[in-house]
Amino acid sequence: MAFRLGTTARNAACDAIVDLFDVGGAGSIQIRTGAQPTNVADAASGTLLGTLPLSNPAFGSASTGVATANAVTSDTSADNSGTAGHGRFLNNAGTAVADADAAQGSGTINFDNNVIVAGGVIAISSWTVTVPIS
Amino acid sequence: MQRHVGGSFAPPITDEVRLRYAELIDVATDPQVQDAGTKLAKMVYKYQKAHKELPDSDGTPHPSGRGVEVALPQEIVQTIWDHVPFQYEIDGIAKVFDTVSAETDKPLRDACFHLLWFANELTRDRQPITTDKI
Repeated sequence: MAFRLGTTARNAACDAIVDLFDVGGAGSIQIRTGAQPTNVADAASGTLLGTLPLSNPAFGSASTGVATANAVTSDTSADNSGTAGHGRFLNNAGTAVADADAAQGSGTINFDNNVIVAGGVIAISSWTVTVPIS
Repeated sequence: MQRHVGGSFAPPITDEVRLRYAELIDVATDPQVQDAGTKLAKMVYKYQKAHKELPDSDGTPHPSGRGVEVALPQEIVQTIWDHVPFQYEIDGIAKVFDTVSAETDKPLRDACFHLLWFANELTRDRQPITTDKI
């Protein structure tokens, strides 16, 4: 039988993960060009296109291993122009907690139009973090 | 992390902005940038000329939670058909424009990607969702 996590364990793990985004205050999502760095802890790569502030706390409490983000504030004036390649999720101190690929019509961050224009708006709808059963 | 939807919205391109972009593109040193940029500027011109009398209409909510998607009437689609690149061409143009430095050549880069953003909207046969509409 495969190793499985019960709901209590999944919720505890999920809450511990998403609480990392709240260290020091509200975290943020950076949208950058190019592929994700090899490791999350590696230095940022690509051109910074924009930054979207997270709520504080960033997520509600997990339920059945799923935590849902509170509102993500849009970047109403993107810093640079380019194609969104990945997102980097930072805590308030600017430390990367996680990252995700971004693409158009696919990818973990699924942009409807992945071309970002300086001075434009970048928006991300609600998102979730899931700790699976196994 | 589950997929979540992102949206990118750019400012409108006025005649003045389009002409300014054309001037920047005219002096681009990379002939590929110059060629693609010139064609996209013409695409925007053709769209604006065709779109002038188009009334705003209802549409469907954009998946990012901001803005509304409004389909273009077929006659406008046909009018601009020859000027709007296919998605695979847009992807190729993005790689060319990405060679324009965000540090040393920002105005040109911003102009190029702004035009490319429009192409990415028009290739879906919809009214570009500019920042004045969200």
